[in-house]
Amino acid sequence: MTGMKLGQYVYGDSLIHRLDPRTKIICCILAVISVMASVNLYYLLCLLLLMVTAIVSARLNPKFIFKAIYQIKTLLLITLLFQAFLTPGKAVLTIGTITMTREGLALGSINILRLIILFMGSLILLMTTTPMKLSIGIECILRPLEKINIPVHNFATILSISFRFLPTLFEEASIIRNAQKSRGSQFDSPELMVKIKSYAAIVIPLFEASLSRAGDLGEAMDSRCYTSHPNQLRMNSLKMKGQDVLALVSVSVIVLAVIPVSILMK
Amino acid sequence: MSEGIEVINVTKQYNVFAMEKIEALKDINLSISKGEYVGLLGMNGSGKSTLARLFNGLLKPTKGRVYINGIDTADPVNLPEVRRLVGMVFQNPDNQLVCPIVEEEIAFGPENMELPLEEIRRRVDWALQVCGLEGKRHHAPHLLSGGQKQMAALSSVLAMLPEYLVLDEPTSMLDPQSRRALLDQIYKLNKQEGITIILISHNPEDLLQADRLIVLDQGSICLEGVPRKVHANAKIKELGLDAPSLYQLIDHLESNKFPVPESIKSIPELVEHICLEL
Amino acid sequence: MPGIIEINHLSHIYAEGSPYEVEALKDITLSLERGEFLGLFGPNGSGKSTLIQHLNGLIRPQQGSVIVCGKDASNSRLSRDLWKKAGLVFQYPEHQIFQISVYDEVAYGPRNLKLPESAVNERVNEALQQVGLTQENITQLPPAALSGGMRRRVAVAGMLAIQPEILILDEPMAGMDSVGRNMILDIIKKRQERHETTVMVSHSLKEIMTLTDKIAILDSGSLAFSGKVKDLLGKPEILAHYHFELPEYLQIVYEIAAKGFDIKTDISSIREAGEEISKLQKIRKDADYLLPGQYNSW
Repeated sequence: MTGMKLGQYVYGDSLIHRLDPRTKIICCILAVISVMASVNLYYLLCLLLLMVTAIVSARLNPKFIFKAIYQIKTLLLITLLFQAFLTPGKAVLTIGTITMTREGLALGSINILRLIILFMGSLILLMTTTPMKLSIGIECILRPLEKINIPVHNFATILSISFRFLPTLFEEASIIRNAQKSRGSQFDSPELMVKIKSYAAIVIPLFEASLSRAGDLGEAMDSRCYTSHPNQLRMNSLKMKGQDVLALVSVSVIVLAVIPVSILMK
Repeated sequence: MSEGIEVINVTKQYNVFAMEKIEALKDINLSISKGEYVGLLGMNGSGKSTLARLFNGLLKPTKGRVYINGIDTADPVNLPEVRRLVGMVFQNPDNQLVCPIVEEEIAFGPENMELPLEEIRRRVDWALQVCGLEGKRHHAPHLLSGGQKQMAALSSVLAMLPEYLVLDEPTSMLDPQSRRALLDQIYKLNKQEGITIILISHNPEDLLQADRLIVLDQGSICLEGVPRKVHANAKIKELGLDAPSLYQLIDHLESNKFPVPESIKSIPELVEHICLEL
Repeated sequence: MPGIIEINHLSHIYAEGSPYEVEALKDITLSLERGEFLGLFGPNGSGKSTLIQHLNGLIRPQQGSVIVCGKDASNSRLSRDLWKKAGLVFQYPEHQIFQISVYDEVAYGPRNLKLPESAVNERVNEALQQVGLTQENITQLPPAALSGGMRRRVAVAGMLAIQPEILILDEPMAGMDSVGRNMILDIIKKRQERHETTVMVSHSLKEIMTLTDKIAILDSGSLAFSGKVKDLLGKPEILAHYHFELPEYLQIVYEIAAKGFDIKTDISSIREAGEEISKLQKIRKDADYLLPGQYNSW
C-alpha cells in the first residue's frame, strides 16, 4: 500500500529544504569524512547533535527517524558483536572459545554511533531534497568530469528516472507476485528449483514491462523536446545563496575541528 | 505559412524480422484545420497509433509528407518546432511521466525548450491550474490515481503551449469517472483555448464530441464525416464498431417518428430537446 | 444448501494502527449460488480487489468469515489451496505472461496442480479452444509474437486450464476493442450455459448492468446493494447516487423524469427507452388534438 518508504522525500519549506542540493551533498560528504577520521566520543556526540539540530530545523518527524534507525538494527547489532568479540582486551563475557571484551564493547558502541550519524545524514539529505534536485545537484558536482568526456548529464537523467520508477516497479512486482500465486506459483516451496522457477515468473514479466516502459518513456520524452544536451535552464536550477555559504562554512569548521580535537585528545 | 495539418499520400511500412514488411498505413490523405476537434476511430491494429506518431515526427513516413503549419516533419531540423506545435498524450498513464515530482514533470517540456525561468514558472502554474492539479503540485506521480496521472501528462504537454494536441487512446486505461473528466477537459481545451484536438480511440463513445470522425481500417481511411452521419453508414457496423448508445437511442426515437436535429451530441442536449418537444 | 461463496460480516483493515490505516472492507455479507454470474461494481478504491483476493486465499479474513466451495478461507492450510477452486484473473493478465510458448504458458497452472503431462495436454487444448485460439501451431508460438487481444486470451486460457469452480475476472474488458470484448463475453456465456460460476469485477456500472443478472455494488468498503439487476432498477434512490455511471438510456429517462414528466424509469434497453419517450409524445399530441383552442391562441 502507500506506506512511507525509507528515505522518501517529505515536502517541506524549512531552511534545510531550501538549501542548495549541492550544499547538502557536500555537507554530507564532509560529515562522512569527519566521522571516518575521528574516534573521539565527544566529537561524535557533537556531530550527532548537529544531525539532531538539522532534523529539528527541517521539521522531520523524529518518530520516523527512530523507526528508520530501528530498521537497520541488525546491521548495528552485528557491528557491535563483531567489535565486542574480535577486539582483544579485558574479558567481560566468555562463550566457548570467544570472549567479549570491554575495549571491544567501547569500540563497537563508537562504531554504532558512527553508523547512526551517517545514516541520519543520508536520511536528512534524501528526505529534504526532491529526487530531481538531488540528481541535478549530483550532475553539477560531477560536471567537471564532462571535460574528460564522461556523459554526466545522461547519468543524472538515468538517476532521476530510477527515482521516479522504483516505487512503480515495487508495486508491479507485488501485483505480478499475487497473480502468479493465483496460478499456483510456490514462492515458499522448500525445493530450490521450484522456488527459482516461481521467481522467474515475477522477474520475466517485470523485465518485459520495464522494456516496454523504456520505449514508451523515450517517446514521451522525445515528444517533449528532450535532447541529451545538458540543459542549464531548469525551473529548479541551482543558485547558491547566503544560507548555503553559511551552512558550508559552519559544517567545514566543525569537520576541520576533527584535527585539533584528535591532536588534543592524544 | 498555411495553418493546419496536411497529410499527403502517406504510406508507412515497418520492417518485421528480416525481409517481411508490414504496411501500417496505405496512401493516407488528410487535412485538419486549426481549431478542429477530430476523432480518429479504429480497431486495435488499424494504424491509428502509427498515424498519431507521424503528426509530431516520432515516426517518419515511408512515402509522402506530413506538414504542420507548412513545416515538413521529415526534416530533423524541424523536429523541435514540430514537437512544440504538436503535443502528444499517450495511452499508458504510468509510462509517460518522467520526473519524480508532478511540478517538475510539468516543467520538463518548457525546460527542454530552454525558456526563461520566469516563463517556465508561469507556464507550470497555468498548466497545473487548467488541469485542476494545484493540490498535487509536490506529489510523487506514483501516488496519484490513474486519472490524475493522465491529467498530469496532459498538463505537462499543455505547458509547452501546443497548437495541436494528439491524444493516443488516452482513456483506454481509465475508469469511467476519470475518462469523463478527461474528455470534458479535452472539450474545454478545444472550445476555450482554441487548441486543435486529434483524439484517438477504439471506443466510439469517446468521440461523441468530435466535429469530424475519421474511421481507419487496415491502414486506410474508410469513412469520414460528422459522427452521426458516419455511424448511420452501414459500413461501420461491418467493422464491428457499434454506434454510441446515444445515437442508438436517437435512431429508435426517429423510427418512432420523433425527429432529433443533427446538432445534438450529448445527453443534456438530447434531454433538453425531448423536454421541449413534449 | 449453502452457496458456492458465503461471505459473512467480513471486514478488512490495511496497516492497522499506523497513520496509513485504511478500512478497505466494512462488514460485508454476500453469498453466491453455484452457476450464478455476479457482477461486482465499485468505483476506484472501493475495496473490490481486497474482496476478491479473499476468495482465492491471497488475503485471509481478519474479521468475519469467507467460505468458498465449502472451504473456510481463514484456515491457513485450506486457504493455500483455494487458488485451485477460485481462479482469479488479474487486470491486464497479458502482462503476467512469462513462458516461452503459448503451450507452456497455459500449462503453467495445470502443472502446478501436479497433473500428469497427458492430462495437462488435454486441459491446455480444451482451454485454448474455449478462448477461441484454435489456429494450427499456435501452441508453439512465443506469446510475444501475438497481438494484445490474443495475449489476453492466452492469459485467460491459462486460468481456465486450472478448471476452477469459480472464475473471477478483474476488469477483463479493460483496454479491449469490441473484438476483444466479444471474446470475453463469449467465454462468460459458455460458462453460463455449462452452469459454471463466474464473477466479473468492473468499475463500469453500465457494463455490469448490461451483462450480468446479479449485481453487487461496493462503495468505500461497504456493500451498497446486492441482488438482481431488475431489483436495482426499482431503486432510484441508489441509482441516483451513480447517475453518471448508468447506461445512457437510463440517464436520459431519469433526467426526463426529474423535469416532471411521467415516464416509466425501470426499463432495461435502449429500444424500451425510445418507445417510452415516443409514447409520452403521443399522449401529448393526443392531448393537443383534444384542445384545438391552443393553436388559435398562437
